[in-house]
Amino acid sequence: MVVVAGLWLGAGAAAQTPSPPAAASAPVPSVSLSARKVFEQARSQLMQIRTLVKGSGSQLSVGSGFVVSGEGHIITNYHVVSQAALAPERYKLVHVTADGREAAVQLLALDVLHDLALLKAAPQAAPFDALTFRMNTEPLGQGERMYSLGNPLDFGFAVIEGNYNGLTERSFYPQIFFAGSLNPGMSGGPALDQEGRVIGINVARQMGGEQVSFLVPAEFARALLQRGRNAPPLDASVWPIVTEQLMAHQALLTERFMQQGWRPSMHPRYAVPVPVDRFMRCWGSSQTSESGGLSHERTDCAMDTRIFVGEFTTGSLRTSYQSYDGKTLGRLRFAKRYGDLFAADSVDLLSSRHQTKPQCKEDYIERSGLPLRAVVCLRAYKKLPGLYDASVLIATVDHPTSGVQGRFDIEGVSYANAMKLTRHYLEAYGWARSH
Amino acid sequence: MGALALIEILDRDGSVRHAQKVLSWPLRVGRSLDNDLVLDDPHVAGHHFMVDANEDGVYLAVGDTVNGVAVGPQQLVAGDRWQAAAGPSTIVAGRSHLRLRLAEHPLAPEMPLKAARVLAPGFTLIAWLVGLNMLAVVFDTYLEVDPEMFARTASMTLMGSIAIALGWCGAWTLLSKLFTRQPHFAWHVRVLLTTTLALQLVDALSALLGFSFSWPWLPGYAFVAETAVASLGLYFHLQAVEPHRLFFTRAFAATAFVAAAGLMVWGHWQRADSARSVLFQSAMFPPALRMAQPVGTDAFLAQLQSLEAPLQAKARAADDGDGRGADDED
Repeated sequence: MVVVAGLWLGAGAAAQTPSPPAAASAPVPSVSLSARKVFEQARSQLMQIRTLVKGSGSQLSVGSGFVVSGEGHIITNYHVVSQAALAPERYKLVHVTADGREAAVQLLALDVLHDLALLKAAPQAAPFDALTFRMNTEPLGQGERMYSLGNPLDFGFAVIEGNYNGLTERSFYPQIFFAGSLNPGMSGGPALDQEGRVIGINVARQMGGEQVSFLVPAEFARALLQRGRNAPPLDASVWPIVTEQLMAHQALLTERFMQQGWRPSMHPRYAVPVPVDRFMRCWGSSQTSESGGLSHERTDCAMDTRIFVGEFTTGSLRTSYQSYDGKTLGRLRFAKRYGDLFAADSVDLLSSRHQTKPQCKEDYIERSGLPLRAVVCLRAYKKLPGLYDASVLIATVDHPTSGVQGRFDIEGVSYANAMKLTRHYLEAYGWARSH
Repeated sequence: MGALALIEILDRDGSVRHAQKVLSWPLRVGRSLDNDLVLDDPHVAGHHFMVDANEDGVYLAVGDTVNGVAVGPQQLVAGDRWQAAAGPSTIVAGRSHLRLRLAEHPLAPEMPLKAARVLAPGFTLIAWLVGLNMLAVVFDTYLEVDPEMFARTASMTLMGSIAIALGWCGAWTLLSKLFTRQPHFAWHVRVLLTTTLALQLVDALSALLGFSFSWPWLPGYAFVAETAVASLGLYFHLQAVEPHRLFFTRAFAATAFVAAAGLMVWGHWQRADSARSVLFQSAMFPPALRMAQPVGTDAFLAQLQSLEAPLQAKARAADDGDGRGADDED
């Protein structure tokens, strides 16, 4: 299963102790001269972005950022500043420069979908040193050296050397695959080429992977800077802005998902919806019971892309289906197991702090003569008005000792699109052509 | 000279603890030692009541007591008089239960032993119940486990079920013995086995009808019927513990039903804003048992449209609640 972790360093992680240094006899890696040069050039443009609790002033979380204009505009990740952005009455943001100076920053604009935020430092007499963006007209080649900068684990500013590996496959929004070790606290820091130009913004790393990290392409940061350069500071909670951007995301997601259609069904008896894996990743498994029980095959498809909102993520789609064969069990035993497995499907997607409780409808439906049990449960987001999660559960009910159970989880879409996607999914069921 | 009456002090199970013949009127009853019948009960007055006779017959006169006297359903206070009835009467003074039998009362015929032992079910019935319950346990295991695991699991489940049943009935038997001086073990076995059979029947029937006719509300509310069955079981168990307090046992079982069902409804409401125990009906049966006709996709999606407005209203209400700092969600 694919798990991607964000790189902002929350309060819990800050308490961790450093691991012991390597043994004295270990060989010292040779220091790249270009890494040293890039770091020296970018040092004055680097910032640590801290979220502080108003009142006590204690540190809640830290990330990184960098200056992109002489007026003091700073780019970082949205997830670095999300707590202060969503609850400005409780939290505030400050930046800390490489030489330890701390000052307040203001939030100007957000790009929640690409996980970016534009901040502005308090004006100063001299113009700020700013990093420049590498233009799209100069694409990087796979394997080219890159340097990711940030403040890992709040230990101090650091440069990490790695390689450019193009864009990640099957991502809904483009992300750069960076072969280097990003660490928590580096979120929002810049990834630079050998000339010190910004290629991307540190955003996440692969859990369980080795040197598999991800960057937001610089073009989105540049667009955000253009859009928000002269915007007034966002002093109120940004929930309405987040909602608006998620609305745009769900419209695009629904359109692209429906356009791509379904893969030709491989099931011998039924047409079962399995999405084309253009921006989803599918995994399968198969298990034959060794004690004369239920044998099953399973396919799970999920998007890597999930939109980080605050305490939760949304804006994603997931499908799965299990094909059960219980001919060794007999009718009654198969029916019992089949029902128990259908019941095990939970629809508690998020805590009820963020969503209403689920409301469900169920009935037998027919697709080209194939009877199905269909259950649809919906939940509304409390802070994202107009957005809903839907879970569609399907079980074929035509055969006494075999069947297919499918599930489609839709997160963060409008009610109309939830209905559209539900219809799209339901209508993909039927008999297999060979049947 | 023959006795004029018999006054009996009853135990809490209705058995006679002490009986005293009345050879002459009046009969004085109270805590004071100068009474004819001394009741060592702190809730009884020194001279609680007196039974005497005049030309109208035998009567009871309540003395200087704050607690009064209950004769059958009738509550008497200090100074009241009660004319004796045509049959034996129970008299409650403080916490002491008494029975007054007059010589002129007709003698009830001898009651055969068989009729008195109403709480002793026959062997055949118990054997049937044991057999049916064992079959149910074996069938449940058959449905639950893989074929190759069946024999081993079934024997273990049977042994476990028997141990639990014996433990349950043993506990009730102890209670019965404590309160009635009779164990009533077979009665408790009968109550338990009948209750478990009824519970399984309600569960299976609600699931089957829910599947067959697409009535998800039926398995969703089966917990009400199951709680009622369990409360009935409790009532019958209690009958063998407090056989003379019918009102109390009925009230206790009814309260247990209302409290358990109420708590369950509250729990379900917390989870899904619905009194139903399950979000959706999941039990499956062989396709031949399905009677409900499937609907088209359009009709099904039209049903879903009705959820939008309530969901929207709930989200808005919850968000407003958060805004006021009144978020009490989990």
